[in-house]
Amino acid sequence: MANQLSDQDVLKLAKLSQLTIKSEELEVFKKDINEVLNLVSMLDEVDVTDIKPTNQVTGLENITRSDESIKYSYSDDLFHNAVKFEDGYLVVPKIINEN
Amino acid sequence: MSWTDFVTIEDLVQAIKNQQLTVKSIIEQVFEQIEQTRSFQVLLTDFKKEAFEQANLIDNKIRLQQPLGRLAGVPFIVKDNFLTFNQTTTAASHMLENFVAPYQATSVTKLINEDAILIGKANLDAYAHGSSTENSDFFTTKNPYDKNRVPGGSSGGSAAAIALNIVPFALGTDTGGSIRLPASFCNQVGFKPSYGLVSRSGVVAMASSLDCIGPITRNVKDASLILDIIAGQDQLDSTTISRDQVGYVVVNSSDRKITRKAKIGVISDYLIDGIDQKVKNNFLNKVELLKKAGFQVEDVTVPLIKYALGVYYIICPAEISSNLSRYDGLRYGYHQINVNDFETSIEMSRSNGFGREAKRRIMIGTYVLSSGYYDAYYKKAQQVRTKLIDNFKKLFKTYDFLIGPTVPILPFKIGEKNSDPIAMYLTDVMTVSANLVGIPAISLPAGMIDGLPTGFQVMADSQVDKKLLAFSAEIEELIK
Repeated sequence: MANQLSDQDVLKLAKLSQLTIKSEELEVFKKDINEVLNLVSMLDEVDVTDIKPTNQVTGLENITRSDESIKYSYSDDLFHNAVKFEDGYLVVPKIINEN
Repeated sequence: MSWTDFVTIEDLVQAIKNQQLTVKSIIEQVFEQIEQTRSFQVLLTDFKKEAFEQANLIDNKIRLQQPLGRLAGVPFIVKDNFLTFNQTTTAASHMLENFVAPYQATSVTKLINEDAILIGKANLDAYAHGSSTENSDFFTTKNPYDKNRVPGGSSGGSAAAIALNIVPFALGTDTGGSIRLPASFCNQVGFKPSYGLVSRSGVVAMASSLDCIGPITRNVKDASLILDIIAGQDQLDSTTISRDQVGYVVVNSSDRKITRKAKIGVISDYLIDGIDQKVKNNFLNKVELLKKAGFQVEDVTVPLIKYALGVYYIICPAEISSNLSRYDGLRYGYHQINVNDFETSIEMSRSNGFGREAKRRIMIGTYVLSSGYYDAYYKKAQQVRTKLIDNFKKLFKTYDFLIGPTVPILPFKIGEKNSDPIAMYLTDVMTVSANLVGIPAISLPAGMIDGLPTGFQVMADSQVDKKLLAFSAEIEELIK
């Protein structure tokens, strides 16, 4: 049997995920996440002693290209999706309080 | 004369070059068909004005006998998770509802450089999370064969666009079956290339070690032509691999002769349980046809394949949670206004911008990657992935191709599974392995059952894409 998450676990997980969950959503998320954890617990029966983990399948290593700047003709377009943009900077809500 | 009169894209391009029909007339037909099929809710956006401008340019080139691209005048559609320059790219999510792409996917640029004409962007499950398009934050696409059923997903709009004769080809993305499953449900050819063969640059990332880009077409020959154009290394995607020297286009009978001697393995693990008996019987009938045609076909088992879905639903959400962590609502994407605190601003933007499925996957991914559970879930899944890869590599020493059905069930009714994530996840059970192993896989139309389409999947070893396409071209008429 897989780990089962409690209400508190799910709320903590949401916080770690930078998400907020409404109280009426909590039960559904808890149920869904626990069902998925049950599904993947099938892996418990597989012996993986001395097996190397696979991160990627191509086997490519250290793919580099020369570090040269390339003129991009649409630089301004990169910023037109930002909420607020002033003098070449993104404007974001305050992080530090004045006092 | 209509573009649909031509069986292959190659024939269509030849006719355009011979001035049998103008590109303008093709684009007129395309937009007429878009109007006729509105009720299927296939497209999120279309580019009528730009398409006619492009058509005009190409018609002029033809008149002036200037050099033409290999897809001169051929209309196409991409899934709306491909960035197209200066046009909205939503990934069918509220998060990116107003996002205007500041650059373009490499694959789209390659097609446009060959004078193909981009018509519009197709619906999908938001962020490509799903198997039905029901997770789209905007609307659900309807199956062209039965409006009460789903077209499959996540590239459901792309597959439906081909089935509805809107355009001859579309691009989709396939992370766990998202090209092959909708191709199967919509009776089209859907091809997922070897991992790394097509650049992922400019495509909204889902799970980076699994994501592949490929075509949905009416036939295998067209799929091979589109792959030939989009495949190859790209400086903007360091995971790309080099292309086959001989290219990918399935040309003629000499290509096909090779495959007569091919040894084929039937993945018998797929036929044990969890499969609709009608789908199973239909598949076994097709296997008999292959045997009668002289192919060597044997049953094989892949011992680890029953764990593939478990591996997938750890690795995929883990990579999703990482890729979606970039959405903070500040640089781009949905932004929650009137929040003065930095952290709350990000939390609120993410909570209101992401749909339920994205949130579920982000949280599962965050859980399996958290320090206390990393070894038990994420690392374990990566280790089982290694064993699964070994299973396949071993089989490919003996067998050229492995076959099975694409999806264990027929297209299901809209609403039937969308409140049950596990039932939805189980539809991917036969497709996820190819992504985990990184091998090419194709879904071919395999006839109708009770008026609904079903698919036939063929897999080959990594970078054997050309041979897989040649073999598929040989059997596609036989199993239809």
